[in-house]
Amino acid sequence: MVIYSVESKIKGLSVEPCGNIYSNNMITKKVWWVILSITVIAVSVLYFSPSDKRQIKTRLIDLTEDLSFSAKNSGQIATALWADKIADYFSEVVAITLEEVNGQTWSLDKRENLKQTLLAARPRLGSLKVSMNDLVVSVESSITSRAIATLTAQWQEKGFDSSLWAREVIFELVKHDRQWFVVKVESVSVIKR
Amino acid sequence: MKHRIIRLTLIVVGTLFIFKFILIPVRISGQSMEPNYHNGGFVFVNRLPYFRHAPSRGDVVAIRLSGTSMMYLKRIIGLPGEVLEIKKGVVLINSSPLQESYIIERDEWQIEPIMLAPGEYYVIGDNRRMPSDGHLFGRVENKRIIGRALW
Repeated sequence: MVIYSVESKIKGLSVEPCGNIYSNNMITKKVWWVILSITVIAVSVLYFSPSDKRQIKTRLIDLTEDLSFSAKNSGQIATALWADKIADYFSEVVAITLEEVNGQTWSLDKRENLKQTLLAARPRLGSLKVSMNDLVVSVESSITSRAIATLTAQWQEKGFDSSLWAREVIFELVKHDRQWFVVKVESVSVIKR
Repeated sequence: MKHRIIRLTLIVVGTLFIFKFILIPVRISGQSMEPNYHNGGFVFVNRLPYFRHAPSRGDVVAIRLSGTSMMYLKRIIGLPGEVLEIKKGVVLINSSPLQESYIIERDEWQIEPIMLAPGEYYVIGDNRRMPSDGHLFGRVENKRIIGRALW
């Protein structure tokens, strides 16, 4: 059996060189407990107080999940609840500018107008599946609590047209009362007419 | 046994590397490249050609969005510095008609003359039967073109 000396000091645990097997085993156990405790604390901190980037990612993933709906839930109450839920992700002064396939732009501002547009649009769609890919978040400054998220939004309508569509979209978000709200949405013209 | 594990690991890592960074497998969605690429079809995007050469006319290229998970598949018809226009469905490059053997039928599309800036390419789909309003085409920056369709 090989006995090797441990000459490290871990927070108050001092280890004498060339100690006997019994004490070394005890110390090893204590070290493992310290490592385990630190890991548990770190995971808890990350889980219960996630970073801004993580919060934004979760928020945007939730938004895309909530935007999706199936043909089964198409009643008036479901539509109203859906529009309310989606509008809650946006700031009251949100500005949305999206480019259509033919190169023309479609703009909308204010949360209330967005809600009305959603209410009008949903009955015309059979179902909608939205997802996002390649999300990059950059928090501009922790003081101003402003962030930019670039992603590829992908959506598919079932019914009139079942094609898969994709656009690169930039979201600008602000933090208010520990929650991130979308203040600006802009599509990127990757292919310009 | 040890050598076999190392060999297997190398094969797996090499395969993952090739299909992630060199030959990207993609599924096609949409009709804009019909009749040459069909909706639901499958193709590989080869990233190697454009490391050494600039894209050329006629290449079917993949254009990245915010990443490579979703891309546009289009054909290059205009090169940097050229003047491009479409008159009654015929593409004119510097006022000369472009021979496009890959198109079977064409609608009478009209695009005003446009000069391509340095590093800018003009991309379009092969399906010119559809109305131009429902078709995504136009200028794209060189940095967005990530590779060429393998077939």
